[in-house]
Amino acid sequence: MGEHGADAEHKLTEERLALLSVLQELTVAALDLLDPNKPADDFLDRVAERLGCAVALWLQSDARGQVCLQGSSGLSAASRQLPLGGLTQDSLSYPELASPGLVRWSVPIEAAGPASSVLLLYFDREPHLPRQYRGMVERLGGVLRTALIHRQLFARTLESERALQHERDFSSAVLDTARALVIVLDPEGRIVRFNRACQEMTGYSFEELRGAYFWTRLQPPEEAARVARNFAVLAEGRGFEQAENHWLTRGGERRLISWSSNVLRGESGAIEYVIGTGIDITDHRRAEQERDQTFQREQQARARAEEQEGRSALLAEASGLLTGSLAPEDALRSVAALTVQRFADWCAVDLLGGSHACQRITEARSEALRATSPARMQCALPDLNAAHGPGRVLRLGEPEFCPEGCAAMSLGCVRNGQALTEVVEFQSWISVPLLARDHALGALTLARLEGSGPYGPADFALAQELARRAAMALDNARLYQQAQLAVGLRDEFLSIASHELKTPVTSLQLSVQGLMRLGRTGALRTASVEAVTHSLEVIERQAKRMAKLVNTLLDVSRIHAGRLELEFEEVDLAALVRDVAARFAPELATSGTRLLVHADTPVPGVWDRSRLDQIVTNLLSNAIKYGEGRPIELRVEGDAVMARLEVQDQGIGIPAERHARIFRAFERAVSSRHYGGLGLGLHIVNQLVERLGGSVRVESETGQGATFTVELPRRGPTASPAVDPAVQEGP
Amino acid sequence: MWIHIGKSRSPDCTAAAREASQEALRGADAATFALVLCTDQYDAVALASAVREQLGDIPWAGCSAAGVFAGTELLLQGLVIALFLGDDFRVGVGMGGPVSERPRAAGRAAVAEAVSQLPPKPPGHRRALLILPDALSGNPTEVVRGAQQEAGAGIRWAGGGAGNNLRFVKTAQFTQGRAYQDQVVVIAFDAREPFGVGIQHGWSPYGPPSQVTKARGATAVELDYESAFDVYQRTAASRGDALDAQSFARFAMTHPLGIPQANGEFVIRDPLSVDPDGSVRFVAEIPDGSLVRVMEGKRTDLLDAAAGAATLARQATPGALGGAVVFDCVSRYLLLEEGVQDELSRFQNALGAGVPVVGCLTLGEVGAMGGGVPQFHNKTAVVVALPG
Repeated sequence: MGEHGADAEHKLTEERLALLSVLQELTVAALDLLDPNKPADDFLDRVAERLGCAVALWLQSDARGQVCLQGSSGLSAASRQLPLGGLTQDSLSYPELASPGLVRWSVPIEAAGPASSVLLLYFDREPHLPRQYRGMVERLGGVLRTALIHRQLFARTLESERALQHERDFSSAVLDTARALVIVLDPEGRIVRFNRACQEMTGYSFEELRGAYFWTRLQPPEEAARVARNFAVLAEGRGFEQAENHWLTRGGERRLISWSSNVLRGESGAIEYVIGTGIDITDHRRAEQERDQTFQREQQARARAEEQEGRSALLAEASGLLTGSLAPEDALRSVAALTVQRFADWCAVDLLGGSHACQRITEARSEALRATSPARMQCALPDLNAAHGPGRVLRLGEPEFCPEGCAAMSLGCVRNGQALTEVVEFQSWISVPLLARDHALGALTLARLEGSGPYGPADFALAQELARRAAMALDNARLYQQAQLAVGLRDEFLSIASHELKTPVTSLQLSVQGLMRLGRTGALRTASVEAVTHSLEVIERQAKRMAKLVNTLLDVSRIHAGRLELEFEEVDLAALVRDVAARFAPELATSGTRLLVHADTPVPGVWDRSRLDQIVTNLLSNAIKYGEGRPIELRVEGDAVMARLEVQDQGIGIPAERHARIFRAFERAVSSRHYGGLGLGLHIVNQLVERLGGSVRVESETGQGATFTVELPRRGPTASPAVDPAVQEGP
Repeated sequence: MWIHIGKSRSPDCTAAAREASQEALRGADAATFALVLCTDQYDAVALASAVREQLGDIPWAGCSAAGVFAGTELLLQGLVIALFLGDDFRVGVGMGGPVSERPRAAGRAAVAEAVSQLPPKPPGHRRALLILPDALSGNPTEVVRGAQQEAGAGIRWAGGGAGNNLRFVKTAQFTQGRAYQDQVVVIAFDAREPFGVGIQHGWSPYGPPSQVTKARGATAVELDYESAFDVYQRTAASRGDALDAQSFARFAMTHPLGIPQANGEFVIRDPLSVDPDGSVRFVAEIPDGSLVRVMEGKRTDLLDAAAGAATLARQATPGALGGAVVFDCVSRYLLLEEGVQDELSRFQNALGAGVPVVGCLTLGEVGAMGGGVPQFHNKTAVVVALPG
């Protein structure tokens, strides 16, 4: 009996141990059910294995009584696919449950709410299990209930997390899809989000920058401090919502970003995030700048074209004025007036006189200049010794250009203020010479006030062109005047020459006619010898006079044609002068002029005797002609190199302004009506002296007589570098 | 349904295939199926080729094992072929794998394929599935669960892990006339009469229970919050046995773990080795949280269990038997040694003299102990009685 009792106790112990083991194992297995991802099938497999079930099912009914299979063990794959709609646990139609004799344990698993759950265990036959197993299974049902609740909670949690993750993924996808740069920062400025556009633009991945202060990683060093300060203000919820700054890419490229920032506040109102939305405007800004530059270039080009057009128009108009007038000074005044309308605030034209004196032809002022200095403004004549300004230009014949900021004092314009005299401050000025045939005729000076814009190189070129045209017009006008004068002289000469030739011809005709009349009447044979001789002498004298006139004209013609032939030989100038003086004795006697000859010392030289004779003759003839009968002195001097002849009269004299002209052809210092002659004597003297290598000059004043001085190289024109070699060598 | 068995001890693949086939085919009419079991000395690929040549169009399947037997004759080197004859059953064969990667899916795939080859089951026919997983690869417990999940309840389950003579190097699974590794082969039968399956092991618990406090698949990391090996040592010490890592294999051979079932039975888990951290690796899964027992087996109990399994199978099969298939754990042979002959006799005797019996020494066994869903067992004898 005791042994039997021990066996029973042992059996009971083993049963309890088995029960405990099964409960333990299944409870542990049930813990896996807390994870909704773990299939309930695994748990039910364990249940079926340990309890010896043929089939284990976990059915779930919803509030509408719809049954679904949470898990199963012992159901084939095909059975698990069977629909359960409308079934209850008592009407399950799985083929596995069709076997006769199946014993079912049904364990309700009470769940919160209207849903219900049940664990169904099917045995092939009545299971030989200790009775405690019903209780264990019910206890297991309690575990399953808890597990189910957790499973559902966990499932909902997972679903929520999935939904949240989905929302996050969606947000991320939206952020990543956005072409704009989106960066999310915590209130300290650390990067929390960094969308794909940011990653693509910077070359950094989000993971590389997560948690970094954005200004330390993305901002150029020189901007970092400022951006950090601005961010601090923004993170306090104040200001700087719109900003532009640079980001530095991984490759070191600077990108200009236009930011719009917002803050995201938590429930407490505290700022949790700062969200920056940016657009990379680097290319846009660059394009804008290029467009602006292009626009500016076009504007400048248009302005230049307009300026050029203005200059061309000005030039054209000025040229019209200059070429349309034979009065150059009037034209220059018109040009100056035109210039101050278009090109300058002040314009002056200065011309050089014969003695390098300066004369201001015109001075024009713009409306603007007149407005700033009404009436009281005065401009001095150029100082030819000045270091700058029109005086220098006149002196050197070189232009001067003051683009900007030079001293305007050089222009010599001042305005009288209430107390002080002040220089008119021109911003920019140009002074250009009026050059014609390498000679400065004058200067054109232009100036601009502040506000009219400084002169540029193109303006300088325009001024030079204007000056060139003005100079050409001026020169042409002067040449025209000279030509007119020359024509007048020529006409006067022709008149004189005709008269001079007609006088002897008339005398000749009278004498010849007288002789012919004597001859036709036969009276010639009876006429007195004295009368015939007188007529013949008249004829001879008039013929000589005509020959002399013709020779003079031939000489001038030869000189001008370059065909004058010289025959050099040793000639004593003193002896030659004495001979000529002697030859003029009758005329001197006729005019009652006393001639004093100082030619006692021989002054030999290599000259053309006849031409030297002609020089002395012409000068002495002139002295007698204009000497008004007063004494004339002839003086011959010389040194080793030069010989000097001086012819001095005390006659009517020559005005100083005519000194230069008396040596020209057909020029004369006095009217031909009072003094006969062709007016070619001094011109021939001048030409011959030059051919002999010397020079001639006059010193005279009106009414004070005249002194002509001829200097000749004693060794002939070879001694003088000025001589024409062609003349020396002869034709 | 009846079977014709042929066998050969020839180490040569071709000769073995020829001898076994000819013996099996002798006097046999058109065979529906052939179960091929061989020891592991053969080149599996060459043997499959030789068998294929011998059996021609007859579909066949099988596996390698540590030993094979025909009747009471154990062949530790040899080949047995059991031809399944008769027109009262249908056979389908499926394979799934690799079991080392997706054991549960492999089980499901193999069952699905095998069942798909069967014509629609006529009313009243019974289905039996023989499952032959590669027990050296992966988790055979999961393979069986996958097979069960695909097939459902109302099925007689049997089978054994393809193995070898405990060198644990490689196994072979045969189907489609070829040899495979890392697979599970399932043979599905639909027959007019039920297949009787008996499963017994004869092991008994001793010593205190130990809770599995940490397990990882087939490895018991901790028992009672100590390393599993420490518990083993303490249990051995209580019996006066000194145990260290080197002697563990021998001790473990006779001292498996038992996992309690509600019906008082134990599912046996065979220890294989000790890991450096004191974890103990088993042939199959150790359930976390269970109160496991160290088991011991007496020779007579094991032999009685063999007889019991055969008896259960015989009782579950009405009428005359057409034969029987036995999956007997190789470790029982290693324990019983020459006494295994007695075990084979007990099988034969319980099934009845003259009943053709074919079987093999397996690495793990498959069956539903006490009914219900099938499980993967160790150190167990599974007998399938074929209805005649």
